[in-house]
Amino acid sequence: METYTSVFIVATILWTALILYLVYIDSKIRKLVKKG
Amino acid sequence: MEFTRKHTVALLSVVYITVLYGAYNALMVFGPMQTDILPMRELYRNVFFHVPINATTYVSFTITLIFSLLYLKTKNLRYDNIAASSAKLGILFCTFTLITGVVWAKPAWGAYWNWDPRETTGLILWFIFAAYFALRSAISDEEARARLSAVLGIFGSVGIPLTYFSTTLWFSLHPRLKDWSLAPEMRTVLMLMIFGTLALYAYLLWIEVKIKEVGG
Repeated sequence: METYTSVFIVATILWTALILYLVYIDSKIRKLVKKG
Repeated sequence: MEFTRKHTVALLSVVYITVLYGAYNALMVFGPMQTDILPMRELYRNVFFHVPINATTYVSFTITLIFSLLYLKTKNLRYDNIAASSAKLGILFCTFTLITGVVWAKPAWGAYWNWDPRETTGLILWFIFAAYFALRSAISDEEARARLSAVLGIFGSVGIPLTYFSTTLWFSLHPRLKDWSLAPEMRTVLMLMIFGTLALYAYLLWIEVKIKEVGG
């Protein structure tokens, strides 16, 4: 079970980073769209 | 209706929570499978990741097929943009399908790659859409590029049913989902993971199309 605990922790960190990155990218794109 | 930043945050929050909840159940809650095949006791957990990613691969390439047909019918370059963006995501999800597949195959079948019909047809599908992008990068004229890649996108989509039915068309060791008897709570988690992955795909497709529209 310890193996899966560490896998889950690493996966959670990577998953959180990806979602936050997407939110960041989204705001960048929206700014560009506004500028035209 | 405009897809605002609030919608993005709401959608990504749903995706985040759904997939995290699925992964938590798959890795931490569900016990080992009751089977005499020793490696399979823990390996079945892979199904909660591999199947949703694979389903998303099929959806991505199907969207490419639909928008390729629409492009040929209307000659609207916006449809070409959607078809190409979906193909890009399809190849990404297809890569992850192959990776989760080979990681599972090593302990289950004894080797990372066995040229099983499912593996082989999956790889062919990957190569078809790799060729799709090679073709796109080789043509500078927008309309010729859109027309030729739409034709390849349509013919390449044959790879989707070929991959899906490969386990019934030929002798294959690959498990078939319909032969499985997942417990109801596992089935729910699998469905949630499929929903989460598809929602992520929908968002990524939207942002990819937007990026292309602003000239990225």
